[in-house]
Amino acid sequence: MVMLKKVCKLCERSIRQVNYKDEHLLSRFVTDRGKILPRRATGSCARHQRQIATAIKRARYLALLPYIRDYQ
Amino acid sequence: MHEYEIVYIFRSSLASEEIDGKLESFHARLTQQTGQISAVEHWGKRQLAYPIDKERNGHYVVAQFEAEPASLPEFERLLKLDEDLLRYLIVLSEGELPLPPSMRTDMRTETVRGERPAEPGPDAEPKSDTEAEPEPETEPEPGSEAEAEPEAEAEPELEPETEVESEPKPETGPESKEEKE
Repeated sequence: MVMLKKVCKLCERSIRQVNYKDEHLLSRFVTDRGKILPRRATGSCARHQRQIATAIKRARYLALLPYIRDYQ
Repeated sequence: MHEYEIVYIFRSSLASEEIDGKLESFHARLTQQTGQISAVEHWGKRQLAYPIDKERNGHYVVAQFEAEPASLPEFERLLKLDEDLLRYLIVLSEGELPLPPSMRTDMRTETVRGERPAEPGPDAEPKSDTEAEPEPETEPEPGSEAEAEPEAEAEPELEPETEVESEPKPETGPESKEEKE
């Protein structure tokens, strides 16, 4: 797939503040193993990437998201 | 005074009356000292992403409150003493109300609907959004909208990779037909 100019998905949807309780939204910013995706993969803007990272870490603590997924 | 938000995760084996009783005793500690509880939201039982203290499920409760920062250490000490409270998180409130479970399901369907074109590839979404929307606007006749829309909707789903090339063609197709008519 051709990589074109990325636009921050959260800016597009005019989400001002990323909420750590919305694990469905956050799950799109982690890999299938549960690692936080870098900006170069998601195209997030700096402001939203900071919010995403904090929110994912909070969601992990609350067991809404796994620290590691499918680890045997 | 600061506005805080707290998420409690209780052992799922507790009865709802027991949880209510515990919440009351926790919140009593806050309200004793000029604190104020503004909202309490029960999410109910849900599966934990990983086991905590051998528990696979937890009962989630979200609350918003106002309190003096100095009163929190004592409040947290009380929380840590409770063995049935698997985990808690106190953060500064971002102003939003805790999401009730009903709203959460709404958001889920919304995001699913909105993100579907993005699933084949993260970069397909902005293109399909910006290209699909202007189409109805630029076409003056309501009849042409009905013709153009089904095609525009069907294509991103079937062939997300070729939509850049194929979309302009059907767009001009129905328009030119109508002009002839």
